Amino acid sequence: MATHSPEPVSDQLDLIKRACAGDKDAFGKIVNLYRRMVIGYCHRMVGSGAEDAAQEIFIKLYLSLDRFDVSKPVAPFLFRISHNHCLDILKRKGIRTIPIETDAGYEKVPQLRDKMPDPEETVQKAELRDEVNHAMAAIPPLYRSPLIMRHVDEISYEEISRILKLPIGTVKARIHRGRKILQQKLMRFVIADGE
Amino acid sequence: MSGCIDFQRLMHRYLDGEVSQGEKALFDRHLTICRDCAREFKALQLGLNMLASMPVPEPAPGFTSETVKKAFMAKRLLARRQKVMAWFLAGLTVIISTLILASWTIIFQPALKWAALNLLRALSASDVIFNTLNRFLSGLKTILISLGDKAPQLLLHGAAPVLYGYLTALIIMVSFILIRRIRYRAIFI
Repeated sequence: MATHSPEPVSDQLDLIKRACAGDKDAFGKIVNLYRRMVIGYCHRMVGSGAEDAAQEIFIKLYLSLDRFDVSKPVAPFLFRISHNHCLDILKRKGIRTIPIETDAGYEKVPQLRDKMPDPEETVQKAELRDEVNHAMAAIPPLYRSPLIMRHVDEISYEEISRILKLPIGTVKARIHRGRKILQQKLMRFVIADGE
Repeated sequence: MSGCIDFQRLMHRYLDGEVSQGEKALFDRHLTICRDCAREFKALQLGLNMLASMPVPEPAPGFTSETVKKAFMAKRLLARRQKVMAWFLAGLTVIISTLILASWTIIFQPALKWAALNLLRALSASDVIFNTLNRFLSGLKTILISLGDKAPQLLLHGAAPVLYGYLTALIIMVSFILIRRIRYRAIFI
């Protein structure tokens, strides 16, 4: 999970110690380091309301910092809190996911000024994104979560099994089932696309 | 690769980058000859690529400062609530312990006395009433008779600390569990 360890362990240790001691700047730094990762995960897990969910996850992180083993990286601990919190949100709302608002408040993808996007390609991408959103909503949260960790955050199976406290075989089975549902849901798109 | 079923199995390993060069060649070849498998693979690849590259909402400008403020406020609230709850549980423990002590002299002590005396009476008629349990009861009877008048006293003084100890330990355990549960419950403002 190299992509999610933005701070060297010694700096991280210092930040956590300072945050525990009541240093707001140190905790703010932790939030800044991991907010994109957490919002991204929540957005894919629960759809809209990802920012509120992320805020609650950081509050939970702060409340449990004194239990956190500082010799370990923060990201897996944060993923575990995020996973449990997103499952709680979905359970509380009694739904599998919340529809994602398209384009509202999204970061703009950087584009070259001299290269105008092909309108057909843009429409096709938007369609595919909608299809993927719907397909993701059809994947049960217990499969969706490890699928996101594996394919978006590029976390290894071993690390996911440690985060979710599940055997590797179970993690693999859940990811494979998640992939299967995603594949089935997108077959219509691929056939309509004329492939 | 014998066919499409093997391809399905291999697909997951292929996506995880766990295939050998030979398997990769077989996989790529199968994609060129089987249209259904090629479609399935394309669907999955498109889906996973889109999932990974899906735009994520930008956090609001004051996200970090607001989160920090709420987190610190939540910790203060949690500490205050824990303190109140700890005092409440301590008070509750004292009240329940007092009630147990009071009930000991009012209910348990007379009940134990009655049970001990009646047990002796029942055992004296055991030959008639409990023929089938004779062997077991006669052993017990011997012990109790040998104790004589001391039996009720012994029952009272032997059972009292044990029973009281169990109840107090139970109350402390429940209080401890409750305090821990409250400790880990996050408060959101």
